[in-house]
Amino acid sequence: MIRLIRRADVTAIHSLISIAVAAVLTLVISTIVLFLTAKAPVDALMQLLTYPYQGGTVIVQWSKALNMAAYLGVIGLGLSICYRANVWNIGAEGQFAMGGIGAFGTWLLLGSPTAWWAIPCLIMGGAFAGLLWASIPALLKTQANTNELLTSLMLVYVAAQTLFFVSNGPWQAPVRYSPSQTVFLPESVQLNAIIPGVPTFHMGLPIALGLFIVIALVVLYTPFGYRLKVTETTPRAARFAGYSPRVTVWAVFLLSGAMAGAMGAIYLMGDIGYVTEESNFLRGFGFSAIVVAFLGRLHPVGILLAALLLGYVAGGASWIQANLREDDSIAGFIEVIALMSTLASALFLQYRVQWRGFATQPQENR
Amino acid sequence: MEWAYLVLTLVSVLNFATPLLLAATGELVVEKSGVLNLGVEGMMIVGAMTAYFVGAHIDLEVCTVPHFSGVGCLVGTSSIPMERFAIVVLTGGLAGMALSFLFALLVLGFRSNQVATGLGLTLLGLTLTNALGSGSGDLKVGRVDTLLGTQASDWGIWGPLLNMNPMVWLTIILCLTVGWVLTHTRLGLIIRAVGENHDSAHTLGLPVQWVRLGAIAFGGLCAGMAGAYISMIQIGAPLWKEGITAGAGWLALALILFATWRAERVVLGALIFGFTLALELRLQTLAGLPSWFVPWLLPSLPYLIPIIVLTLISLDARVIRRNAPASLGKLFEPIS
Amino acid sequence: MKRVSSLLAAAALSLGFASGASAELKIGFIYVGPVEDLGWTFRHDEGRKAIEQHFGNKVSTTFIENVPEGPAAVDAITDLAETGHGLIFTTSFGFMNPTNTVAANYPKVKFEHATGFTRNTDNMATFSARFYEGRVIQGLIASKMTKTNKIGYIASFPIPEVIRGINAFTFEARKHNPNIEVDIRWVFSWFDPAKEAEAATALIDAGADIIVQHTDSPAPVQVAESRGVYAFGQASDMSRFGPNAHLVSIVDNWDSYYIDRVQAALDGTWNGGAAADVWWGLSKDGKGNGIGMVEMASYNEKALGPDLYAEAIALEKALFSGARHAFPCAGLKKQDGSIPEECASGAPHLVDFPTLVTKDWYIEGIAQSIPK
Repeated sequence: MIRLIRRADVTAIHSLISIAVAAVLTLVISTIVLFLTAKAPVDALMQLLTYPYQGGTVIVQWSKALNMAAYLGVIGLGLSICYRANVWNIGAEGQFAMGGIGAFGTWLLLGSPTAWWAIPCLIMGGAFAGLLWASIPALLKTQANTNELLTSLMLVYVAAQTLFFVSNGPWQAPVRYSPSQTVFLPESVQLNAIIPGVPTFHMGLPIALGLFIVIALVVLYTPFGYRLKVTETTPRAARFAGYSPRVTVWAVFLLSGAMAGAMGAIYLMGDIGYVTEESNFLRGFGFSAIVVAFLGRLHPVGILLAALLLGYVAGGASWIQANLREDDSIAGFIEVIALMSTLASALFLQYRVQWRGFATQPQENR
Repeated sequence: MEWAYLVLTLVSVLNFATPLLLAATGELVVEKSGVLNLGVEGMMIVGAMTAYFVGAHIDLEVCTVPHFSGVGCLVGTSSIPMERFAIVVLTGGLAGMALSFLFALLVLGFRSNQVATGLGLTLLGLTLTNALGSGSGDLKVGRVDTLLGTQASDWGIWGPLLNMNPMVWLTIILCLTVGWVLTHTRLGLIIRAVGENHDSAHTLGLPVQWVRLGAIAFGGLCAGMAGAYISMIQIGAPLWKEGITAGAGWLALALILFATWRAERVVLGALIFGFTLALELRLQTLAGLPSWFVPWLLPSLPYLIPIIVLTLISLDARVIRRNAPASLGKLFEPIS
Repeated sequence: MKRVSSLLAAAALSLGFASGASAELKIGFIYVGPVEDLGWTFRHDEGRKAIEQHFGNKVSTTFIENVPEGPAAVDAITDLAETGHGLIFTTSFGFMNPTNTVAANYPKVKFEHATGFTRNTDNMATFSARFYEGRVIQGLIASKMTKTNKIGYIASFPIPEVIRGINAFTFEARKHNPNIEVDIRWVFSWFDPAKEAEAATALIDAGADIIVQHTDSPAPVQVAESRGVYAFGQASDMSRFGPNAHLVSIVDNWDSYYIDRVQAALDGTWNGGAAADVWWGLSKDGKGNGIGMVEMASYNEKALGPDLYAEAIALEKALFSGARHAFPCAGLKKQDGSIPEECASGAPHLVDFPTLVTKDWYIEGIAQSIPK
């Protein structure tokens, strides 16, 4: 029978093998699903892979993918920091929402300015709001030892309700633009399109990229990053090294919350322009970012690739939906299949699989 | 009038509480065995969709619709008898269980991260139902028979309460029974031992993996049936739409936290959650409340209450230690 | 979330392989709900099918459903423009700004937005139906059918279209029965069967014996049926969801408008821009010429009885011919007791612009206030 033996040390080769296994699994299963669900599978598969060059505007198609990847990448990187420290923040969706609310609140607090300097203020306001929202589970975790996984998740729903409340209550626009929303931010306080006519390719994208690179460098090359690495691989050693678990919990929660909040502010200024109720404001970036963090094996480079992959696939799914009338749920399927394959193939990273023949005691190894 | 209104409110409360309670009962067993399955929402929605489609195909007749440019439609017979409804609920449960086996395969077989796998399961459930659940427009499932039928009015103001679907009462009984089994029987002891310390349980010769597989399957069954309640009963007539469970699975998880893994408190918590959910549209027109109360605080309460309660309980570490399964969410590596 | 499915197997087969199908014009639809909501979106999809039937191979149609009214709508509309759709219908009030945004980026594509009031570019038109004419008939029926004098009104969002409906209903109901109280509950959603059902339940529990809905699912009618009270159908004929409870449905009929506009696009006579706003009521021009966008379907004659049925039909005819306006100035006051501006200056009834388009006040007789 099969026996699993924990590897004493994990090398780059094992990593590559495990990634290759996951990639092959994802490709094979996704193709099968596509062939089962699509009306014209061959065409759908071909266009799903090459959609930027299928007759639409190339830059529009690419920027659609990049736009989503920016949100998934930065939020996912923040979450990966938590997960490496064994802190389960799964409430990024709520921290993102509070970032949007915080940025808009900052704009109101500043007296509704129309000058450009409002933009950095709003990003900081958003980051601060996300940080504050993430500090609730951190506080409860460190002071009362409350399970952060569930508190951070529950707060997503409170944040969603807050979106609904502010856009229908105190901040509701006087002229009813839309069922429930605030006024638009002025053009000058929005992150404008870099290329005219391509609204999804806006100034927020380079800002997000900069943020991603800075945090990635912190994770890879600073004492804080080293601390994370020690905490991730050998939690006991982290204690002996004098790393306070409390400080770690605070640090990772605040950092990831601020990153999600900053992205909420960028989303507010770059993509939507106003605050509205949750079903129209939120697009599930905070939850997909969890998938991205795991797909990227909690490593910045992996996360970047995973974010680009999911962004590209989502763009392709919406393309085949509009062009071929195919179901766009294929994007969700690919996301799930990739996640499950990655999780399953991690087994080969952590363990050596040994085939012991049929003769040896099978019950022992179940 | 006042008493009748209170009884009707109680009907609404129980109607909201039942699916939360049923899903939480299943998840309680899963967590007691030391596994955290965050896929409750996904299993629920797959159960909801399966039940609806089975319900739709269990009895159909052809009809024509006036003013619909002459299209034909399929409409269920006017009612689904109780026995057939039991089959419908069970298929919903089995669908939830099928999904839970995937979770078990990854978590127990491939030793994958429970949090990520559970979230993936929810994502899978939502994606599956979005892909398969479309195009149900021409299906209409017959209303499920009630116990009393038209005789409900004989019972006066209590009629609506007594006329509720039996699942409401069975769910409460199930939850209390599960609580009793967990605390008073050998099976319960085994489940708790596995959840408390899987290494010692393994050393004692307990089949850790099989116990957990059973618990996960039971959790899937309960979640699927809870979904079936939502699509078949909760709205007053069977109905399917994408995302119909609308976060009920997460509330079920919150419920267990609120109850600190105690079955009788799960029942109590379900009633409290149901009450806050039922109040929203009832209090909307009440004058004198602060403007943020009904639109913000009330819908947030089911999520805020568990945070507050859990924090209060967690301050006293002994309470958590007494009830929380110590191995919850931890990786089990059999030493061989 | 979103899904596109084919309407006819044959059409799917013929179009399945190439994006550049032989059709002259590709027409895209953006829906806010699922096609199977059996209400609002369902009726728009019937309109889309009417286009297919009328024009055959000359056009092809696509739809994207369940589109949220935010940036996701910009993406979905852009997708349709990018994939070569020449005429795009966006069918919810909340798509107003997304449609204007995309219209500015794709000047060669024609956009039609339902129920909105801004047209920033020349390739953008809006259209809307005078659903409130149907509300008048519902008001008459409710005033004569209620025993508790309490009407439950399930409203979606506090926007002008919904407020117009509440006002038209209440005005007519109170004209015939001044004791009527309209209890309005807001569900803040167009399509949320669970919440709509809960609102209906809460209203019936509070004593309402007639349920009016301005939401899209048949759930309130189903609840009314099981609780033994009356209800009105919305957007599509909902009589089959409550054979006893259902009194009459206001049915949206977009077919002839859609066919007109597609024909215009094919002929090159399509117009957009500031003046391109079309409102049809029970009749096209409000004076009894042509079938409009609003239709009353499946009167429950058994429940109404012959007298009330005849009265309702007579009112429908008067509204159709324009002999009767939904908001006559006689007896019309705002909630605060003041007289609307145009009535004060001598108009016979409220005018479309600006009052009806941007209306955000209740009439006298409604106890609650518009949620802020």
